[in-house]
Amino acid sequence: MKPLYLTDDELKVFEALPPKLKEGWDVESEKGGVLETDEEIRMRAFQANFHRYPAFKPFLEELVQGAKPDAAALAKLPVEAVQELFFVIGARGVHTLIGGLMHEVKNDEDVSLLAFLTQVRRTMLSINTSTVSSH
Amino acid sequence: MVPESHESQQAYIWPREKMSRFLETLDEEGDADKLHAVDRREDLVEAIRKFDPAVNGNVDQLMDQLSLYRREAQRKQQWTKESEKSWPRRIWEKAIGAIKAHPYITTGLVLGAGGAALYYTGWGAVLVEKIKAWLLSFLPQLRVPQIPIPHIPTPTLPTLPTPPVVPSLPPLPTVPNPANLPPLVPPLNP
Repeated sequence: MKPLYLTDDELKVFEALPPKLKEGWDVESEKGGVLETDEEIRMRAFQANFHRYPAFKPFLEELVQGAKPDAAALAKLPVEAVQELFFVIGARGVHTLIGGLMHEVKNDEDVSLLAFLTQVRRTMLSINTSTVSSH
Repeated sequence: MVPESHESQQAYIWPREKMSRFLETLDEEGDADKLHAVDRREDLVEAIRKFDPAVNGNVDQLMDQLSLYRREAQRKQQWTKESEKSWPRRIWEKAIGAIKAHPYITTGLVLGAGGAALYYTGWGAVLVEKIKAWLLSFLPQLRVPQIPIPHIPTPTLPTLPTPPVVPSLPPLPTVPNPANLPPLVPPLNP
């Protein structure tokens, strides 16, 4: 099983969880890396192929018109679209999601999701660090 | 209603297809290093002007955007490869299923990416305001902490050596006004 990669502050929150939820998980330290700049996030959005996913456009249009975010709509998107969403928000965005989720963990499924998100962040930070700007 | 475009705040950029086509041309010609090599800057400017004579005074901005485009395309390629290698499809599906139980994550994920995408359509401003409003409505109950993530600064390139100072030349001798010169041929005595 892959570990959770947590920053020092996240680790404090995780340590406060009930022992039953922490059981069986390895925790490794998230040492950080290169976070995306605003320009990089905008460029990712510019390059995104959201138009390839027919379910995405009406969903966004509804949001623009004032609809509440519908979590069920996410499930209608193909895996490739969700992978692309993650790439666009980057390690910065995933980091924020982790910050919110840390305080919502109630069961094993939530811990699994938390672990998944920390692994996604780790991978993104690693990719960012290996391809830093030469400017 | 589509709000006013934010075009004036955006860096000059070609449409996505045109960016890709230009970069592919550089690759085909084996000239990809033009994007990064300082000493090939003039070549890149020339290639851009040849590709799009209408680019005018936006060359500098465009060069930055081309470099950024190339880097993010490489990162995306790596991300796609890594995400397929590290997490089988069933893991992704399980994660998406788990995300449904957390509206905050759906909001952040979809609006974050969607808002960024709509930045280029002029709808970004509307969504940014909505994102703020939604996040504020979520924040009190979630108590989202401001967790600092260690940031490794982008390494800066070493400073280029200062070029040697060219010694200043002595001032040129003043050339006398030809009108004040004595006549070369003395006037003939009548």
